[in-house]
Amino acid sequence: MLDAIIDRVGDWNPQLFRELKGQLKPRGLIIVGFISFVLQLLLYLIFASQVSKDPQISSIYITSENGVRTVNWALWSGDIFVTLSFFAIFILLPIGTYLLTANLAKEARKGTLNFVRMSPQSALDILIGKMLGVPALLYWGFAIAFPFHFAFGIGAGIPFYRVLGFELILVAACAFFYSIALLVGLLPFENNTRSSLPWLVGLITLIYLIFIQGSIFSNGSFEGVFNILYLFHPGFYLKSIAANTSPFMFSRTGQIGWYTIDLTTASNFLLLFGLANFTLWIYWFAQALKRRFHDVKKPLWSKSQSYCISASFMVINLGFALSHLPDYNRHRLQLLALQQILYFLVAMGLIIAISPLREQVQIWSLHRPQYRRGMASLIFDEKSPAVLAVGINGAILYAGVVVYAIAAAWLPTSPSDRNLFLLGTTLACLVISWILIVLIASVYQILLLNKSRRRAVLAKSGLLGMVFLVPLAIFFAFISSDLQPMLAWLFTPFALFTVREVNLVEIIFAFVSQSLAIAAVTINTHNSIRRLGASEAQVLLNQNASTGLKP
Amino acid sequence: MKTSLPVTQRDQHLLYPDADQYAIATYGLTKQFERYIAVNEIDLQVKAGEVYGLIGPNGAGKTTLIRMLAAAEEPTTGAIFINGERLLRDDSNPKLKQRLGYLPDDYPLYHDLNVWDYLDYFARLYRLRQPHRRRRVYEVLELVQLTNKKDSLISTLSRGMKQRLSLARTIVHEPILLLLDEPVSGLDPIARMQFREIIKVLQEAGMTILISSHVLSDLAELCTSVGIMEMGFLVESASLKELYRRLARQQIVISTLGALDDLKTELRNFSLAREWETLPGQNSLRVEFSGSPDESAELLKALVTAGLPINEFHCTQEDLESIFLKLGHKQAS
Repeated sequence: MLDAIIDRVGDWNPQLFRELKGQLKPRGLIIVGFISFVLQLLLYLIFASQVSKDPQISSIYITSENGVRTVNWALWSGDIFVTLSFFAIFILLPIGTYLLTANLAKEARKGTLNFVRMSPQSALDILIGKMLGVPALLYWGFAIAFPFHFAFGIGAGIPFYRVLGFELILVAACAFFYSIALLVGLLPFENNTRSSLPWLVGLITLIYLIFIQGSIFSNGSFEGVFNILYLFHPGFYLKSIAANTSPFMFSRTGQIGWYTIDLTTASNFLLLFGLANFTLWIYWFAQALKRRFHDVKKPLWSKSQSYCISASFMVINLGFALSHLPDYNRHRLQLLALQQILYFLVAMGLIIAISPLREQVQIWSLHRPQYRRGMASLIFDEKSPAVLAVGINGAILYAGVVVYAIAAAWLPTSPSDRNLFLLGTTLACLVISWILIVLIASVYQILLLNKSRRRAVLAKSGLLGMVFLVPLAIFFAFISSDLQPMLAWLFTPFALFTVREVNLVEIIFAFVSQSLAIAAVTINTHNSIRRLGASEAQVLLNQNASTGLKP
Repeated sequence: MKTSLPVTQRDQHLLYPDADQYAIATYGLTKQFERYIAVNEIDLQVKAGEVYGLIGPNGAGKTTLIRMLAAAEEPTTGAIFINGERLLRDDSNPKLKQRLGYLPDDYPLYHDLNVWDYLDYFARLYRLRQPHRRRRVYEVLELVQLTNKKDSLISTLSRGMKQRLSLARTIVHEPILLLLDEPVSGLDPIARMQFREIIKVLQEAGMTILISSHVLSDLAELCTSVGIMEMGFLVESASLKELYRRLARQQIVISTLGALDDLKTELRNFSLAREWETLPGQNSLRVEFSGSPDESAELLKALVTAGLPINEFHCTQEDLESIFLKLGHKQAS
């Protein structure tokens, strides 16, 4: 019967057929089914002991009035529902990401994926097959627990459609995290790095889940700055639908807003918004997977796609930021600076994702006439250097900070609170920070054009050094000094923290020096690319001359 | 090369007018790794139904060329056409991929599957539907003589069986173009012979086959055309007949029961017998002969008429390996 089911599934997706054939053996199914059943039974027994008829036992589920003990079954069911949900979140996501990365790492090591790539199946069909098939035993374990989970959700008094909505969120979260795991599995790592990669991916997923879950429990909302991180954690949605039915598990204080909507109370909207958000990011990661499946050296996204990604991120994150509109006091300025840091980090991610490798720039440089002309080529052609594209992405992302800063400066009810001078300084610091993004992109690109075989590592190290080491060096150099060098901080991602202390001369100096640095790096990059094109032609000529052969 | 600017059907026809006349046609195909050019502006044409042998020393670029033809490697520049259709390395040409079969030299397999499931999986990947799929898997299992192993785990097969299973995977979807990279390397003589026989069957079935190998005697037996690669260049590409006609010298081995000096004296009277060498340990000469078959018959008649006790007289031709070495290439055999 199992073979017949796999056979039918295989007609729909051959990759799923292959994975199920490898994973679903009767013995494995029986063991996983047994473990799932025993865990559910244990959970039930633990909770059942809390509502024992023994009058000696008291628990949060039992109220005693005039000697009559009443069990709050809705509360009891709600807590079982939430506990099972946590099991699902903390097992499905880290283990699933581990399994998928390990599977692709193994295929890459053995070279078997190449045959699959050559087949007429689309990249997405293959990767969906992997996503559904590799963690098949995990799914089987949770499929057995699904009726139990669903029934306790309904038993807790949570509406049917909200329980279903949460299940869908769980599915979407799996698809989202698994897409990232597949993408990591497709990255061109050395074989010895590949062996540790699955553990790393699983661990990072687990750390993210624990860290954000802690914040959800403690009701910390990062004051609007990093709220976007909640959107990828199913626990956030769980809190929204189960806070009323499991009040002892979730605190109900605090508020998380998005533009004018209070997400903590609008459960239905949050579920739909969560599904839409997951769909959007799954779509972008699917685009990267499609590109990387056939060519592991391609930039993750094309330049055009990167602009849409920046805009998507900016619009979603701005909604959280604007719902926590700061006044221009010191604390709020720090929040504004944290917002800018978040966007800065996204821009750094995009630098790594869209910068073309040396070979691609070489092709672009050699076949310049076949590409778009002038600036259009730098903005849209994916083999052209990515500095200008990163600049555009930085501008799109920082537009969110500008809107946020203007709103914060303009909207306070009391006109005396409006501080246009500080707004001006903020915008000036933002421009300097934007120039730093472009400078880092230029340095990253020129390091990628380097002749060294380790140039990709070199470029990433250079980027990390500029983002983290420079601020750390400044911090430790002046740790015991009362006087902080504001000018030096303007050359780091933390430029906006200096808004109150920095003066006009320092801003102008930072602006001019960074612009000069960009000009110097740009000239250098231009010359490197010219040399690269010329050297390739030279290689061809030399090879022809040395062999005495003519193509 | 795939650029950001679309090449229209009309442009394509203008740029590559004869592309649709060949099963494989490449134009300026180049692959560069760092500062090393593995394949250098190759224009290769292989007609439908041919068995094309690719020979050359290690590092000549054969594997890279075949990988590009199989869409396993992105060309740095140049274009590939398979039966007149442009081959690109993305999701855009599933029909074209359906026509290609590629067997690399390392043939990685899934060891957790059994033989049947492995072939069934690839048949599904290539969209074969039931009942044709089941029939086809049986057919290829019979062809590669693995029917009795259909339920065995791949990990339990011998090297030769794994090689044959890989060939079965390569042809299960009935491709019309086969790309075989060193398919017999590491096989024992019997497995090699079995493999050769399978290739002959596929050739008779009308497949176009491009095969690279260091075993030139195999290629001489199988191929209709040969290409020689060296340092990334395709330095020779011709039909085997043409190659023999141009480069192979006719030789006659003559043995005598009498003195070799008498034979040599008599041969000096024939201008078509240009030079000769004594075969060690035998009373024979290998004679370079540039005449026609009629003229060789004349030579035999003259030798017998001269009273020489000739006990062996047979014509041979230089083999592919000799031709290759004569061209100045260092082919490992």
